[in-house]
Amino acid sequence: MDKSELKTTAALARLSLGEGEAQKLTEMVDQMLSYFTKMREIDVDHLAPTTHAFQDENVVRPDEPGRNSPDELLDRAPERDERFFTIPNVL
Amino acid sequence: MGKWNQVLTDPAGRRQYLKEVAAGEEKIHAFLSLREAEALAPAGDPRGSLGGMPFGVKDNIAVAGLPLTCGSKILEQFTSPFSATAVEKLIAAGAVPVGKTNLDEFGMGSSTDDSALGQTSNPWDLTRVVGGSSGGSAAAVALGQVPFALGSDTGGSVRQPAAFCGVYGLKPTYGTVSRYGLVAYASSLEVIGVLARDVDLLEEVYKTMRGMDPRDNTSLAHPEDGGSAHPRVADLEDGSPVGVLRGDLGLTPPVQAAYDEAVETLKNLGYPVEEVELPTLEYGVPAYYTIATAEASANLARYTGIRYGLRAPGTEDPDSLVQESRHQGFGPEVKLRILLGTYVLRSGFQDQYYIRAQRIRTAIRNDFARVFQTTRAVMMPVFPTQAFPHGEGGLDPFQQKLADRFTGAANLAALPALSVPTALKEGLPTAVQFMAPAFGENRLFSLARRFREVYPVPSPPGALDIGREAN
Repeated sequence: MDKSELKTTAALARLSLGEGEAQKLTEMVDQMLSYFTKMREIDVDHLAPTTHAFQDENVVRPDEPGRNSPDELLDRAPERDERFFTIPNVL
Repeated sequence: MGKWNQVLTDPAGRRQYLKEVAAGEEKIHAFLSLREAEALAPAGDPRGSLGGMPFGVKDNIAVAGLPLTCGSKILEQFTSPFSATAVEKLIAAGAVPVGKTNLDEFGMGSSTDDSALGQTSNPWDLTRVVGGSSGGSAAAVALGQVPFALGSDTGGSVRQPAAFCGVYGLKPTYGTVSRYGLVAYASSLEVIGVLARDVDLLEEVYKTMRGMDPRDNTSLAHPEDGGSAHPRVADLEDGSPVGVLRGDLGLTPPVQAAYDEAVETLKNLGYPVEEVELPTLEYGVPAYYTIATAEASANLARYTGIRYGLRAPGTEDPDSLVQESRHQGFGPEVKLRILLGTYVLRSGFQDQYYIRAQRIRTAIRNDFARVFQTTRAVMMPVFPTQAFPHGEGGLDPFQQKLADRFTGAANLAALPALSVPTALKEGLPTAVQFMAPAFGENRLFSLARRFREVYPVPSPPGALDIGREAN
């Protein structure tokens, strides 16, 4: 992986990186990706992928109010204006 | 379980208890937060099976009113408004969560040194790591600050620190314990587990916690509790063998010596032993890290600095707010895994990495299914080394990942696995793990009870005396 690939990936992950940090992480990601090539050594094309061990159908529950009040959750916001989360201006 | 019951039922007992825990903290720093004495009165049934018994909770599992930091700066100031289902069930049985234990940030690591909020040291040798990621829980149990503690196991995070600290560590069958209130890292792999010095208590805690929970749509009723929709453990004839993984396992000499002795112990205890091979094991680690990082990149997208958690000051638009908050809030290992997971899920790369890893996951499940046609359980090492030193003298992050080869397979295959202490070597604990077919926890407890006859749980130097009668 080169540095521009890392930048694209970091942008997709909504992560800004310092210059030295980007260099170090490029090396670490690269090391893991070359290790992942080991997965080519085993023939698994005939096998179905496992996403979850036991789940074969969707599971739903009744749509009922939870136990926490909205205020308990809003209270945890870094910045709020009454019942709204605030963020910097969009435009 | 003896003396640990009722430790917290009266105010004087609670104050005395915290004093002793604090003395242990000066050495090992297992806890990121501890409650005040007044908050430790049992809320549930004081005559319950766990009445008045303290326990530790890994700090990625929610307890109402307590911090839930995940060992990360991004959640350093966060307190949970609710409790995990597993914690609620233990509280109802009379147990009392006394504090939150240290961990590698978001459960990502094998030493607990990847915590952004403090370093925990091994009670056996303070210059060494406790293992991870449930390292604070393992250290607190080993030193005797609590009789049991909760951890989470995504790729070995309960079993490996249990092995490093000389205690039992259970990774249950996926889905048998609700994940509601466990902060998500790799949802298809992880499960809440237990660490304890007493295997009977471990079993009691597991059976108290488990059960179907409408709040976790992957949770299952255990067949022993009447669950029938999922496969039961195959009936094997009494006397069917225990599988033993053999060959060049790449263990350090002390771990190899302890493992060889454990194989002899199995035979001496009267178990028929069958050597087994699991050829897919070596592909388990790359498959595990592909799946775990992919799921992590999605699960950790929720930390934006908007609704809760750390917000970077002084940003001028919403995109910078999110990017800067994540930049400042996450540590290097978490960033690595988010980037890696984002990359393997990028359009054009999925077949090569993520889908291929999931096919290997199927191959690993098939491999175990084959072995469990003739064996009741399989014994294998937990980790190739004993507890390694803090810092440069230890294993680097890449070496730590490669060393997950014995533990990650149980998560990929959703199997129950139990780390069991064996002999001390060079003054440090060693361990083996047993794996059983899905829902076969009872086979693991039974093996551990027999091993206890040969390998009593060791006590580290300076262990506290609060609940020792139990052992």
